[in-house]
Amino acid sequence: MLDRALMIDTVKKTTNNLFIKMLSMELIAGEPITEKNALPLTAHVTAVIGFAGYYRGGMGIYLPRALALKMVAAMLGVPVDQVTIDKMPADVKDAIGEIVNIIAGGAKAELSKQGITFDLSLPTVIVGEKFQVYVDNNPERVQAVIPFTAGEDQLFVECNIEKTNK
Amino acid sequence: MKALIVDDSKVMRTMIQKGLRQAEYVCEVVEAGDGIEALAKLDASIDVVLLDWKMPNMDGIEFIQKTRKSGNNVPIMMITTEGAEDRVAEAMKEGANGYIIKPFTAEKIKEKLKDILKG
Repeated sequence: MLDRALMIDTVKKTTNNLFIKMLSMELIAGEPITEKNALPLTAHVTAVIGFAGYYRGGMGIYLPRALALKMVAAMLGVPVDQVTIDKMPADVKDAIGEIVNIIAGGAKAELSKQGITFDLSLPTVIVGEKFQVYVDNNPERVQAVIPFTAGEDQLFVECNIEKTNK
Repeated sequence: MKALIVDDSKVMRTMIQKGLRQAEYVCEVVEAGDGIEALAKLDASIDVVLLDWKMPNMDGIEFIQKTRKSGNNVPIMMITTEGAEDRVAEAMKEGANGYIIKPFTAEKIKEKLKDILKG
């Protein structure tokens, strides 16, 4: 059965797993934000992916520019000073989209063991600042924003899931 | 060794290639962005296929089905985010020889390739 603690634990686990295995970066998870709120996140590169099926919802990863560039550089195997968003937007979109796809794919596999099944949409990557993410108190939906610290950078992973009538 | 890397993400193809190098597999690499392109590039010189599942135009499972139906027994390693047990079983049933769930490490590529290449 879906509950918030299960979702949060799963997202923490799959996010940490990706950062350690593919980026050689250690993350420290902070206290999840679960109360109704509008969160002014400091992020420059965002990737979101949708869930659909017996359960629906989505996931987003919100990255500061410096961390996004470090991640793309690590994935491409090039020095970070060779990566810029303006000159290589396709690589940034591809890399960060793949990141959210892998984290969501890990969550999908973990949650399916508890009977919580859904399919993933294609990821969308957004570059831009100063926006808000809303956590609502819909009783049908579990939602949380989980802050992580990677060295001197902070990132957020938001996840929301609810059961459908299927 | 000559490897065909099939993934719609160029960055992921680069990472898999980097993983092969780190795993000490000296190899020539051919890349494809979907199953159709991979079928066109699959010839007798390919020693192993490293294959994503979800791709546009033709996905990894359809690529395996067409490859096996043609009588080609080239070793195929899935490298995918599809990690649920039933998905792994489905791929192996269709003819995949090995399975790696993303995120992966070079050590995992080395270990799994060793298994399927000796088989």
